[in-house]
Amino acid sequence: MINENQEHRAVVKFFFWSVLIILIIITLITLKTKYSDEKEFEMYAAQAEEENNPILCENIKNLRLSSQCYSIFVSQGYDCTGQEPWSDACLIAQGVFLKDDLFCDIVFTGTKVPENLECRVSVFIERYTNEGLRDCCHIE
Amino acid sequence: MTAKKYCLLSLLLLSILSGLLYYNTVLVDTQAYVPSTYYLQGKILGDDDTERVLQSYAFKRPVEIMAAALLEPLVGVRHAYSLLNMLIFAATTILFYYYLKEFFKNHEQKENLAYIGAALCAVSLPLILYATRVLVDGAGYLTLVLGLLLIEWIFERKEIEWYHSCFVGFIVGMFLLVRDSVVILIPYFGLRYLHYIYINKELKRQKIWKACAVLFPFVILLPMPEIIFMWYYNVGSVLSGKAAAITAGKYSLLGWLKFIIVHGAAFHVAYILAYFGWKHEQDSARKRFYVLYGICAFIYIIGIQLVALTSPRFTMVLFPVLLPLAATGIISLAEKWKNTIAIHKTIICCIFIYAIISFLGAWLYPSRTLILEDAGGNAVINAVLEEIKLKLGVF
Repeated sequence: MINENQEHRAVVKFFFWSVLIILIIITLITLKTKYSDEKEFEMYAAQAEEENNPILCENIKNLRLSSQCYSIFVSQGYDCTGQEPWSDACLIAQGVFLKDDLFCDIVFTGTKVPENLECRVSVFIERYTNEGLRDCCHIE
Repeated sequence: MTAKKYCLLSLLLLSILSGLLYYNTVLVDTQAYVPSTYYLQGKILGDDDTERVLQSYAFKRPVEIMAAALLEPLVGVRHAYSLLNMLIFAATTILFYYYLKEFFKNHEQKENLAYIGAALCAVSLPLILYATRVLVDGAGYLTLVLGLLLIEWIFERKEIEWYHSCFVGFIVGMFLLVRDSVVILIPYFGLRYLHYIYINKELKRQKIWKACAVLFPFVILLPMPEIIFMWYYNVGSVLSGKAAAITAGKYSLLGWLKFIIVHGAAFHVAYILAYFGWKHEQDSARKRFYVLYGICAFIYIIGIQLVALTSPRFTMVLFPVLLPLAATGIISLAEKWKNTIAIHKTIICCIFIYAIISFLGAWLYPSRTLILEDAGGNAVINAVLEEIKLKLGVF
């Protein structure tokens, strides 16, 4: 028969330490990415505003931050559907600015299901809190 | 640190790790949950959004929406759901551990079995996929465990009276306002009670009257919370509109192929481990539970298939049967191989393999194509291949 106590302790200790280490690594990577994303956003958003060139927002890899960069131009009347090729970040920013979920359906079709959902949900949040882009765009 | 602390903390960390993959992500149903939260906060919604809320299925399960509405001003609507769901996920894992300790109380390996079952639960593919999204699925699994604990507690009484069943009926009715998976506990309680009456020799004479006296108040109180909610918010029944969803697709061979692929993939190797567990299980009370609950859960999954909803989120209702059996299977394999490989290594390997497959499956789960509810198995296979192409860059 198994000596339950010893075996049990070995199993739970293994999982505790290995998962703890994985979580610490994930946290460090997340913090590092967040820091570099913020730096990237500050740099390109400032440059885009300075040069009045929304296309520079495309250099921001993080979809939420890229959308936030575009939102400044969209609120000034910039039309993302005139941009070639269409930018997901810009279209989300425009959908949120217009507070129009049907716009999301028109621009995100086919395999753009996650972008469509992010756009629509952000539109609903924007309608009632004006914080549509705050938590948006977690696409795996 | 004691083994107990390691055990509980490792289960907590495993739940957090699983919950991180899809934390704060959205699915189609999220579009109903978000405006429902604002509606319950008392905000004035536009006509379209009000209709979206009142006609949505999501709003008919309002308990977590209410909790999210309270938390929303502090963290925003998406984090309100995700944070609540992370807490609920951890609570489900830990509660399931205690439930299994009680379930295996007369087994000499109860600590190991309870831990293995709870660890398998924490790294289950359906939980990784759905538990911490902006949805309320996680809460449904928690109410299932709570409901099972309640029913077990009732059946530990010397005699079950009408007020016991009133209590179960009311609580299960309240749980139905959280998520509908708990509906399984209704026939399960009935079957379990009839079995209890059948084996209780002292009650033989008054069996039928006794059964009626206990089951009648259960059936009466069960829909009360739902009726009160429907009346107060003037929303239709939970089944309204569902009859129309019974379309031809699910009855085709490809529709049932989808059923097998989706529900098979949800617990993957756990089915094989559970088979070994079933072969080695000797306790008649536990076998009775597996059969009774298994029948109820299977009927639920078939019913869900008939209203055109096939998703691993519904397979999860099998976990009270599959995971204890898989834990028994792992222990029996460990005992069998103990001369070749240390027992704890076999246990670790089995949980690890199960976790790796679950994480890989969850990561490769098709999210870019909308699979129609009445689509067949071929649609699922194509969508999975597309996702693999995209994420691994193969073919």
